[in-house]
Amino acid sequence: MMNNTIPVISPSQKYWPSNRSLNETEESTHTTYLPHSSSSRETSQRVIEPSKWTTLDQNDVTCTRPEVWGNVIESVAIHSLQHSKKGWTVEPSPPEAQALWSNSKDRVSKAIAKFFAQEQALHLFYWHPIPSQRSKIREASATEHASFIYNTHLLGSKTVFDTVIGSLSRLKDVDEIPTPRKEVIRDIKAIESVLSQIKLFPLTEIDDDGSVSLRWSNQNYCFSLTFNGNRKLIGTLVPSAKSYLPWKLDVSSELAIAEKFDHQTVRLLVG
Amino acid sequence: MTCPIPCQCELLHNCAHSSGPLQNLERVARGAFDPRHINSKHTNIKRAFIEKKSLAESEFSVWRLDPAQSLPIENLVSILRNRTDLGNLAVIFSVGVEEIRNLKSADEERRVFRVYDCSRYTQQGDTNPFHAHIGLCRELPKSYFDRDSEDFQFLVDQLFFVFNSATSRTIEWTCDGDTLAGLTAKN
Repeated sequence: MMNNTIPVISPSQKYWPSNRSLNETEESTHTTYLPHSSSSRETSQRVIEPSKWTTLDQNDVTCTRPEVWGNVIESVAIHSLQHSKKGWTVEPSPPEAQALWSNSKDRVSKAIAKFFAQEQALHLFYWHPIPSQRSKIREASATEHASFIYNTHLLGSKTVFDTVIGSLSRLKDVDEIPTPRKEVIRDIKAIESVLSQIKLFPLTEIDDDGSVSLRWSNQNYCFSLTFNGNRKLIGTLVPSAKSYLPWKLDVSSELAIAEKFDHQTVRLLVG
Repeated sequence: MTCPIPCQCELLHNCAHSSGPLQNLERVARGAFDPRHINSKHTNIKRAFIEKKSLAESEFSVWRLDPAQSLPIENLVSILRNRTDLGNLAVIFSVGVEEIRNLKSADEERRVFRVYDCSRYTQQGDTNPFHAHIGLCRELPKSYFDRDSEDFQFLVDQLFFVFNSATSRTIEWTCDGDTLAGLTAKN
């Protein structure tokens, strides 16, 4: 349930030291939040275990998709500035990020590349007021966490299907990039109900032969759906895993396709 | 049953200008071109980086970066920049030969890729001793050679994953470090 409090970080523990690992911090640190509004049900001081937070460190940043991180950072910055009353608190580290935080969105964008280039540690800490979503973040890896934030707070209520179709429409207007064939668009629309159930947004690309791929990936795995425009959908998970062989199904077989998402790694990737 | 590493066809080289069979410890490089292979934000390589047609024909072109008799990266840049039909050369990635040779089919039963010397004369009459190809293992079932099959798509995704993974690839060269900062940070 949404509350109207702004968690306040105790001054002594405002930022995690950038050179500390998550485990190290989990064992020794408790972070205290104070309620912002006395009208809230949660009026007393409460302690949230650091394990309920997700930390994104340098390895996470460099191993995941930078464009997602750019969006996440922008998204959270905007959210923090405009919607803090919803209960989000986000604190960047190190000091360069803190300075960055207080600046405009545009400057945030410009500084992202600098972060990557300089390989500075970047820590972001999140807490969400909705228990179900908080739990989801805790269970996800940093990459999924990034996608989750991106999806729920930057893209709003759009579904994966809406976003994929929108991406393809924009790609059509870009010179020197193959145009998705009508048959491919038709096949994507045929599995709209499946795509609408997915929470995390994929990278949408047009291959050199006009086929379209939707990719969900983290540093360890990549799950792809490929539409060749022949009324078939191909799904692959790499690296190879005996528990999940590549498959090809008719796009009209929505139930069978939906069942292919019922695999631990795939679920982790697509949300 | 899987082939040995290297297999017999990887030991062949039939050109006097060749650098010899590719060794497991070598690295092979490939250029990514903008915009064909790089997204508009310059943060990702696209799967189009793996050209399905050439892979299906077992002629996926790569360049040898032999530590012993290295092709100077400047020479490779010069060669690849001539490919103006692909756009502007943006990045050159390399991956280990052994890593590609170790990739397995989805059922983990067999090798899928061969990496072999291909320094033969071109149609233009020139040759380069550092050219090589990645091809599909000849022992694979027919379905792996069918571009519409899930098995072939799996191979495309396998190879792309290796070239796109921060843990397996090395960025050898970029045209503009600042512009491509997001991409190179994954290295």
